[in-house]
Amino acid sequence: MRMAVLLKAVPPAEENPYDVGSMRMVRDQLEVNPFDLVALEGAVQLKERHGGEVVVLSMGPQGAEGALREAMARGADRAVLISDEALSGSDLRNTAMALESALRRLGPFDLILSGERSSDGNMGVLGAYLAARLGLPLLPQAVSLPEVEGGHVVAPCDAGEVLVLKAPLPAVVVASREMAKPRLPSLKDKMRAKKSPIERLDCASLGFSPLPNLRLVGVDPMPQKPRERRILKGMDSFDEFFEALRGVMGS
Amino acid sequence: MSWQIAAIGEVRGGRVHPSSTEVLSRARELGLEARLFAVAERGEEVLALPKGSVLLKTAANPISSLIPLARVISARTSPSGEILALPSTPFGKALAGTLSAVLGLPLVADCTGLEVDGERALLLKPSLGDRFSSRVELEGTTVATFRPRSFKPMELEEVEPEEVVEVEGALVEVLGRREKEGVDVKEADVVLVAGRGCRGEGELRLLEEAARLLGGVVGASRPLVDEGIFGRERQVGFSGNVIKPRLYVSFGVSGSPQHQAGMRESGKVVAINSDPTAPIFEICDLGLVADCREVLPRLLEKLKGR
Repeated sequence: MRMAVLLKAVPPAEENPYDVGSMRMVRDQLEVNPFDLVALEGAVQLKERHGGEVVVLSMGPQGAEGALREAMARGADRAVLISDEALSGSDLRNTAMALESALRRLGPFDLILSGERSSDGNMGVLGAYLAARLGLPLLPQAVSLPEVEGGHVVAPCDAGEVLVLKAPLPAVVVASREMAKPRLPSLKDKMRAKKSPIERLDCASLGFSPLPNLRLVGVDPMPQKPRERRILKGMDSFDEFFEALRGVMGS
Repeated sequence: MSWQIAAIGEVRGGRVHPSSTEVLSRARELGLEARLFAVAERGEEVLALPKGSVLLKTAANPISSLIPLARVISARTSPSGEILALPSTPFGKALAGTLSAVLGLPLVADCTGLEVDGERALLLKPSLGDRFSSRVELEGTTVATFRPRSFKPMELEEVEPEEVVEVEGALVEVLGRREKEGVDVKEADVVLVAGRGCRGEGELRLLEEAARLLGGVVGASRPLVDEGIFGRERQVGFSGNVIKPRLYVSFGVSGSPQHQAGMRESGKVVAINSDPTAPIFEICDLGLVADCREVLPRLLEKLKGR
């Protein structure tokens, strides 16, 4: 079974990587989007069960290489990075269309997996976009590892309620964060991944020209909600606290 | 360009998702023309719809008919100056991505604001754990998803849709369904959150009882989820659920940046923690510096007594 896992290299969650002047994210230090690690783990477990190949595919700056090596250490067989100055600052549509061209180039795949969202953009729409562009069925938010049998994939998916969905292969599966628990790579795996090649694609090799991006007119620090900060101290203040709590509840 | 809104929302339990009515109320505030596309599984009773709605009926759960739904909506929306607004729910996100791909439209997901001033339309979108907010100016018809509770809700009264469309075709088969286990902290009005300072069995039992009395649910901070005391669906924080209840009350939560990113937008924030330097106190409306093990029994006594 051939599987592609879409992977985004993101700034670490605790960093503060926006350059407000240029309205660009500073992507010096990057790691694998934690939600994509779940999708990768799912793919590796399916490979262990059914055999096959796991290709990780990312679009990002040169600095995303480290994230792809991390994915190799965690069980991916091949890593492909789409990197091009023309794609810097891509919005969702351009990102998805570049990934689509690469999937067509590297395919066919039986399963394409993505994480439920990225920790920086928090959008959660990429899997659905690609499924529609490729004309493939979508299993959104799979809550446990999909079963693959007889040319079909079955998985319970979170759609407000839990639906057990079945689709013919090839299909796109979006991994919810509950789907699998990412493994930690061993030191040996890390050393091996360090030497693994990262394949490169760019706009020219894909024959892809990006559309104009969304027009970003400003990035502001999120306005903080004003808070009253009435802090009471000790159990002696409990009655006062409870009265204030009733006030807050509006009862 | 004059802007109009097409709110697209799933119907569950007879009601269209509140986030869709919120977008309609925002459109009304802005004086924009707006209508609703309600998506329901055939056989689902629809209890309330606003005037001029289109009801789209799918054979099975709408999530199995995304591409056919996108085609039907495409034929009924304007290629210029329309905002196709969906809730940031699993269904809303899936249909938003599909609409963008099928209609070739730009997409802005996870928005929290919409401003329209004459010809100019702006979407506000938080990023990086809600520490920043981007302003995106629209240049034509655009798909957008909105976080629930971004705008004021609206009561719906009319029932009869203006048009009913039977949507045919499905790429995915629904083999079975079950209600989600556990509680939905994202949709709850009141959320009581347990942190490291509130992890004993006895305290958690009292916390559940307090939540019941307050008409709320119990959520948990990440350490308690990592330890397996609570399931992932209860986790409040950026890597878990981003919540915006009317009332948030935490018990023994220190309030790491990761946690704050998941609750900062809550209506009122109340925090109880024995450590007076806990960061949660910096962003709360009301705080009590005390041990949760002492607070909880007293709180229950009071709640039962009122």
